[in-house]
Order: sequence, then C-alpha cells, then structure tokens
Amino acid sequence: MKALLLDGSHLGDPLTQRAAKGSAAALRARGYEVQSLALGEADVAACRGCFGCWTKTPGTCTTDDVARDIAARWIASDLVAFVTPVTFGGYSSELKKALDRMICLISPKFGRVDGEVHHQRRYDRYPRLVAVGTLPSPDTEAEATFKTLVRRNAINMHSHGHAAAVVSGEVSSVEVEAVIGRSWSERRSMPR
Amino acid sequence: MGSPKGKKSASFGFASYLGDKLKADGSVVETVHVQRALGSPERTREMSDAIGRADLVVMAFPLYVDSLPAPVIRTLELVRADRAAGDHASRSAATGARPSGQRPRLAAIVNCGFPEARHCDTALTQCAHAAEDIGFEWAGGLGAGMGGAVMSQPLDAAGGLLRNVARALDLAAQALGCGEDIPAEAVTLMRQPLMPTRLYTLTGNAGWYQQVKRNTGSYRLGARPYVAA
Repeated sequence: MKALLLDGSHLGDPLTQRAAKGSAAALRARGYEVQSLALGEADVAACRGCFGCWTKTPGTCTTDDVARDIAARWIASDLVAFVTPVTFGGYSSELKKALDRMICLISPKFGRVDGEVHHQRRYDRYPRLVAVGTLPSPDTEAEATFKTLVRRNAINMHSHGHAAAVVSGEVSSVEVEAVIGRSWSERRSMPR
Repeated sequence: MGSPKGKKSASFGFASYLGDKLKADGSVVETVHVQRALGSPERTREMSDAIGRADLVVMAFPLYVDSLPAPVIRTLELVRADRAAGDHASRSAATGARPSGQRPRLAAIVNCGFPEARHCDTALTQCAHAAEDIGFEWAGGLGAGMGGAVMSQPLDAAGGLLRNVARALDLAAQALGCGEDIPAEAVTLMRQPLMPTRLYTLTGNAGWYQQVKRNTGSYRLGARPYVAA
C-alpha cells in the first residue's frame, strides 16, 4: 500500500516536524510504503484560479512545477496524510498551497453528495485522507474547526475514508496510529 | 483582496462595492491584492504596513477547497508574526493610527462556486479564529454561493439577480463604518440563492463544456492524465 505524506510544517517548527516523522513511522508500521514531502522546501506555486486544469488541459494544472508530481502521487496512493500546524483552525499556508493545486484531480461538473452540491469525481478511486494537526497547547475550538475542515475536504476530494486528530506537545505513536485506524470509517460516493 | 483573478473576480466586485460605500461615509480605503503583494519583499512590507495602520481590515476572497486560499493564509501568518514581534503596534503608534490599546477589527467576505453558501461556513469560522490569533476584534463575515453567476458583474446598478447581495453589502458597510459588527440581516441576505439550484448547476455544467470546447476543440472534460495504480 502506498501513502503520500504532505508535511506542511514551516522551517523552525520542530513540533510538526516530529509529528511528520512519527506519522511516517506509524504508516510504515501498518505496512505502507511512505513518500514524504516537506512542502516548505518544495517551492509550490500558488493556484492562479484560472480553471485551466478543468478547461484548457483537463486533469493537469497549467503551471508546470512540483504540484503536478504531487497530483500524480496523490491519485496513485491508497492514503494521503496531511501533517500541519493547526493554523487558524485549518492548514498552514504551505500545505494549503499544495492542496489548492489538487482540484485538477476532480471534475468541474456538479453532482450531489447527501443533498449538497459538490464537484464530481474524475477518477474511479481516491485515497483515504488522514490529517494530523499540531498545536503548542490544547485548543478545543481550533481542533473542532480543523476536524470539520478535514471532513469537508474528504467529501470534496472523494476520499473513501478520513480521520483527523490534533496533538499537542510530544506526539505519541499511539495517538498517530489511532488517527490512521479511524480512517477506515465513513464511506462517501459521488453520483456518476 | 484574496482572489488571484484580480478585477475579474466576484471577490473584487464585492470588495470594491463595500469599499465605495465606506468611502462615501468618510472612510479612507486602501485595497491590496494579496497574491501580488506576496510577490516581492517590498510589496509584502507595504501590505503589512497597510494592515498595521488600518482600523478595519476586510478580507474578500474565493473559497478554495473549503478554506482560505493559501496566499490569504500566508498573509495572516505574517501578520501574526509581526504582531508577536511587536511590529504592528510600533508602526501603529508611530503613525498615530489608533489609540493605544484599541484593537483593529477584521471582517471577511467569502464567495464560492457551489450554489449553497454554507460551503463558506468553515472558512468564515477560520477567519474568526484568525482574528483572535492576530489580536484583532472579529467584526463578522458574509458568505455567498453561486459565485460563478456573479463573477465581476457591477453591483452599483444591481437589480433582480444581485439585489440581495447589494443590500447585504449596504448593511455591512453601514455597520462596519460605525464600528459595529456585520448584522445578521446582512448575513442572511448574502446567503440567499441567486437562482434555483438546479438552474445554476445545469448552466454551470453547460458552461464548463463550452469552455473546454472553446479551449481544446473537444467536449472532453473527463481526461485522466494520472492513472491510478
């Protein structure tokens, strides 16, 4: 099984970097072949909002940089893991830059999930999504927003299972493994 | 202004309409295009200075994957770092921008391409978290769906389709200009669908086909360049 780990830590964030290492180790212990990418060193360009990935070069971002490789690895993976400092209840700008560029993996066409409109899938299968957020100290409201965001992303990115956890201080491999274990829950499907 | 599409965006339409209303009531309004500002250290510093001297910052941006676009998050990260280092407070004091101890305010206008405005709710909650994290007062936010139908249509002579949007922004400007929060009536008006959902999704899907045909000569929207292993 293949896992893509997107490390959204900024330089000088030892807490999130430890969480990324711990997450990779936990995934390997579960039998995943893990590809980790430190996004802070990857120089991903921001999305230009041009919709070229839908209407000019369908399925491929018009900006030719490492994000194309991330998209290819994403759809080839069984699981995608986000590791990020919880930033205003969401992701770091580094992780979000990469995620913004992943809409090439879905169709622009509208469809419904549980009565709500979303974009339809482009591919037959998508990886599970797990997210590990870090905070220097517990913050229940930020944690709740983070988990809501991950759930909404899992719907839009057609993940057939998702899980999220926020850890503070020293990350334990038990906590990280629990996050991965919960990713086997929830299934959502888009109409064709 | 958090849309990379600049003046061609719904975000710019909303922001400029609100800005004009605030100016009409006597406010001095500066507009910063975030993605352009982040393109150079000098422009980033100018943006930071503009934020530092503002009594009110309104972020207008499109919803990207359920959240704020990365450049908007980056801007807020920089503001947080500046304020933690005491930079904003010292610049504000130096320019006499605001009495010591009075917190500036943050508001947001989010628009999405889905028909339901509730897709914007998580992003608005994040903006409230951001306000707290960067030491601003949260003045509220507006979320709008059906951004694809708004695009850069002028709101000044709005009737019919955009009348609720214009009215929502009128109420928001009135409140923000008086130092008050965006009222609930404005939030409700902004969330009203511009048209029936079925009509929006049908015309939206037709629009995607038209665009791909124009750009590629084919109606094929569903290419799969990255075949799953």
